[in-house]
Amino acid sequence: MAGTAPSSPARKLSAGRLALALVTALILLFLVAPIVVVFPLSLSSGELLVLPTPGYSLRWYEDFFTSSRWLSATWNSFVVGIATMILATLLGTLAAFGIFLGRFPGKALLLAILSLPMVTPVIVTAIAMYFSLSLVGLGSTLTGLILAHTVLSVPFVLLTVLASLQTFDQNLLRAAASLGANPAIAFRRVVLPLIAPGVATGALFAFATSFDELIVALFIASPGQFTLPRQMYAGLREFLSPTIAAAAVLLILFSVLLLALNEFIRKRAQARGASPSGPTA
Amino acid sequence: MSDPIIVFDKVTKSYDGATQVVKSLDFAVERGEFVTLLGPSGSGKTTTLMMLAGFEDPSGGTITFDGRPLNNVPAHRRGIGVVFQNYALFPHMSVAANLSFPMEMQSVGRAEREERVRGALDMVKLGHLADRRPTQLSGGQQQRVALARALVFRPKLVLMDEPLGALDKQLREHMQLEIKHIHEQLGVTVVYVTHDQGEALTMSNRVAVFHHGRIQQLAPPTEIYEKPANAFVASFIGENNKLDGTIAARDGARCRLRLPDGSEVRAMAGTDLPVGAQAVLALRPEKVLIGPAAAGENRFDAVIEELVYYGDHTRLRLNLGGSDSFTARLTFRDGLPALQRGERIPVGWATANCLVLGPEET
Repeated sequence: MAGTAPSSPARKLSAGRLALALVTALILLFLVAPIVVVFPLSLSSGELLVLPTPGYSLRWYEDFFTSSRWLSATWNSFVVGIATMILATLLGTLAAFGIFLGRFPGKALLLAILSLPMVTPVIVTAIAMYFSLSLVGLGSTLTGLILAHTVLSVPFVLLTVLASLQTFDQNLLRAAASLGANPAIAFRRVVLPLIAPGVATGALFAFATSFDELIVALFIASPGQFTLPRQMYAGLREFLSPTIAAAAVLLILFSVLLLALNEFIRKRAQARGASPSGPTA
Repeated sequence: MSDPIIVFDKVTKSYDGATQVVKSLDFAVERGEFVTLLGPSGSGKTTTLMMLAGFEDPSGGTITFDGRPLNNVPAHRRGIGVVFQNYALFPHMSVAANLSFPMEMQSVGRAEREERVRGALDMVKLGHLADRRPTQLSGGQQQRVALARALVFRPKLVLMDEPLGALDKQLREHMQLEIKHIHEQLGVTVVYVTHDQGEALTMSNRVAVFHHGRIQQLAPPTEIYEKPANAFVASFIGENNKLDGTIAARDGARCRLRLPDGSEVRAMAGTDLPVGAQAVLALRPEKVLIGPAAAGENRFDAVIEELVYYGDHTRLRLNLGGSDSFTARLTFRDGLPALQRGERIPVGWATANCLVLGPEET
C-alpha cells in the first residue's frame, strides 16, 4: 500500500460525508418503512387499517388463528409449497447434474429454455398454464397449482445446484466407478453429499417461490382453494380488516426464518470446507 | 509360460474422428508385471490408461482383461483399481470410510471390512489417521490413502495415472520405493503412467515408450536405456549426443558411420540400415572418455567450448564431428584434472557404447 494515506478518514466529518450518510439513511428508510408499517397496523385494536392506531391488541392475530378461511389458506399454501419444493428439487437437481456431465450440442440452449420461467412475465406463464392444465383436466385443482409452481421453481434449483457443481471434481465420479459404484450409487454416496448445500438452498428458494406466489394461484386454484397470498389479496379487496396486516407480519417473520436457514446452510458448508479434494494440480 | 492379463489388439482412439490419439496399439502385460507407460504429454499414454480403466471407449480394436474382452463393460464392473494424480479421495468421508467404500460395493461384511481397512492403512503406515478427513492430510499422506484405497478391494490390476506428479522431489523418490515394495509384496499387476523417465526406469519391469500415439519400444529399463530402438527413444530416455551421418560400411552388428566432416565412427548398428543410408549416432555423455583413457577405436581431438562443474560430475561441451554441443559427462575418482576452456584434448569411446539408429520419424 504505497502512497500517502489520508489521515484517519473516519474522523473527517466533511459536508460530503454527512450528505452521503443522510442519503443512505433515507434510501434505507424508503426500502424498509413500508414493511415496518404493517407491524403497528397488525397490533391495532381498531377495526380499520389506519394509522395511528387507536390502541394495541392481539385481536387480529387471534382472528387469523381462529378463522377457518385463513387457516385453510395457510394449510393450502404449505401443502402446495412443500409439494412444489419436493418436485422442483428432484427435477432441478437431476437436470443440473445432467447438464453438468453431458457433452452434447445445444447445452446452452437447453439451460436457457429451462431457466425461461425466471424471466417470462408471470402473467404469461399463468395464462399458458391455465389453458394447458385445463386441457388435461387439471385446471382449478391444487395438483395443477403444484405443477405450475414447479415450473416456476425449477430454474432456482437448477441454477443453485449448477453453481455448487462448479467446484465438484469429476475425478471423484471416476474414482467411485473404479471402486465398483454404479452411477446411481455414485450419485447418492458421492455427488449428493457434496452438493447438498446447493440442493438445500435450491429447495428453500423453490418453497419460497411457491409460498409467495399470487398470480398463478389466481388463475389455477379453484374458487374454494385459497392460498395465503390469494386470501390476502381477496381480503384486501373485499373487507379491509387488519387480519391482513397480521397475516403479512406472519409471512414476513416466516421469510426471515427461511433467509436465516439459508444463511445457516451456507455457513455450515463453508465451515466443512466443501472444497475440491487434493491440491490444485 | 506367458500368462498375459491384459492384451491390446489393434486398439485405436480418436476423439474427433479425424486425428488418432492412439494408433493401433498391440501389446500385452504379464500377470504380476509392473509396466510403465512413458511419454511426453499428448503421446497417448494417458488415453491408453483411461481406455483400460473404462473411462474412455476405444474407437477400434479390442482390449482383453483376464481373459474377457472389455468392450461394453462399464468401469464399475471391471474391478480395476485406479490411483489418480489429484488423489480423488472423497472429501466428505473419513480415511477409513474412503477405504471401506469399495468393499461395501462388494458387500463385504462389516467385521472383515474393518480388518482390511486396518491392514491396508498399516501397509501405507497411516494406521493412526483412520478417522481424519482427507483435507486434513498432507499431499503425501493423501496419496498413500489413495494407494491403499485402490488396493484394499484386492483388484487383479491397479492403474496409476501420474500418482506422484503433485509431490515434491524427495517425497516422490520415497513414494517410488514404497510403491515398488508394495508391488513386490502383493504381486498385483500395475500399469503406471508417467512422463518422468527416472520414475519409469527405477520402478518398472518393463517400460513402454509412447510417442505420436504409438509404442516406440516396450522393453525392460536396461534395454530401453542401453539399446534404444530408435532415435526418439534414445533422446527421450536420458541424454544422448546425436551426430548425423551416413553409413559407410556394415559388418554384421557393427558399422562405420561417416560424419559430415569426413571422419568415421565405428559403432553398433541398432537397426537394419543399408550402406549409404542417413543415420544418427547416439552416444551417452557418460560413455565419453577423455585424455589418455581415450585410446579405443574411436579417437578424436576436440576443443573444450565450455566446462561446467556440478559437484559430483563435470560436464564438457565439445566441438566434435560437426557439432559444437557434443557433451561429455565426467566423474573423477581421483581429483579434478586441470582442464581449460579452449584446450584441445583427446576424446574417445568404445565401439560397444555407441549405437547407430535410423533418423527420427516425424
